[in-house]
Amino acid sequence: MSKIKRLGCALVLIGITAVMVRSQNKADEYVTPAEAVPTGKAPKMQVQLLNPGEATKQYAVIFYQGDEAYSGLQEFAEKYHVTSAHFTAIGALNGAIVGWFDPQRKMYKKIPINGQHEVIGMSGDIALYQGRPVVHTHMVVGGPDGTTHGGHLLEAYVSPTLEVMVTVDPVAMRKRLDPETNLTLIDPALK
Amino acid sequence: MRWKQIEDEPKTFALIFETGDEIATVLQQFAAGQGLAGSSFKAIGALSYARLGWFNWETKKYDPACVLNEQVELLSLIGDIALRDGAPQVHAHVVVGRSDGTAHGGHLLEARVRPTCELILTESPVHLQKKYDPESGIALIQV
Repeated sequence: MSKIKRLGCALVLIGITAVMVRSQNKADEYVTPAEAVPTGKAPKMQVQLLNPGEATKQYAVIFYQGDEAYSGLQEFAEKYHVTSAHFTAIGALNGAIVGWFDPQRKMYKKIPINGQHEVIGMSGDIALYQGRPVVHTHMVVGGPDGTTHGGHLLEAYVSPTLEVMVTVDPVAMRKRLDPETNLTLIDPALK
Repeated sequence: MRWKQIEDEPKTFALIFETGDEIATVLQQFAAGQGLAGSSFKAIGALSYARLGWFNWETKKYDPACVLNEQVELLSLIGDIALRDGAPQVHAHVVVGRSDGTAHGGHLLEARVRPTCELILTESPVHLQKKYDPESGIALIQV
């Protein structure tokens, strides 16, 4: 009898530990949309203006081995005072985190991408929120067997290069906070 | 493949591929013929055959990621053109969708069009140059 009791106690303990570990993992597995983008993680990034003198500017933003692309794009947007832009990119990376927006939690579920992958398609835009540029990027990556994964860009470690072609438009686009989703959404009517 | 210049500033082309055209070869020929550099493009369409690569960091070569000998949607083709040793070099990545909706993707090695592929290409006045990168073993854009 006491053996069964002890076994029962042990099972309960294991259960509690499992729940605790799981809820701890849950906290690490999600990220809020408002989380600040760390800068200074793309020291090799290079920028070239491709059409000097034009109102609509075209830039090549090129990343190299080890650069973190999301923080680099944020730095580019701030340094070049970008108020409205869109871009596409291709390249390759070694390690990334993409997000999937969970409408129930109003948070991004983190999806880790491990190892060397082709950046098959990256597209995004830049608009202002509270006067600061916000970079919004999605990407699809391909692994060694051609299978693809994708999502909202949270982190991407470039290897060996990422070529981003940016068009910066002269008219600013602004975002407003959408209370329903906790996301900042572009509102073309905002002046 | 038929093409038309649809804008002067910036110089923009529409390239329309037809059944049987191989995108990588035709695009490379077009780039050389027009003397393109510092260009970027995107396309959608459908393919009867695709061979896609994955960059192997150990061997510094593109491994064949997948070979699809079947009708697939060309969901996304994004790429750029830069000069390497004075000649234009096309770099493109592809996502294709199979009949069950699953997606495959990689570096464009070979893609045979069926029935069409619509590609829009924009050239910038400033040319982009590629230089051999000893760490990766391939030529990367230097700005």
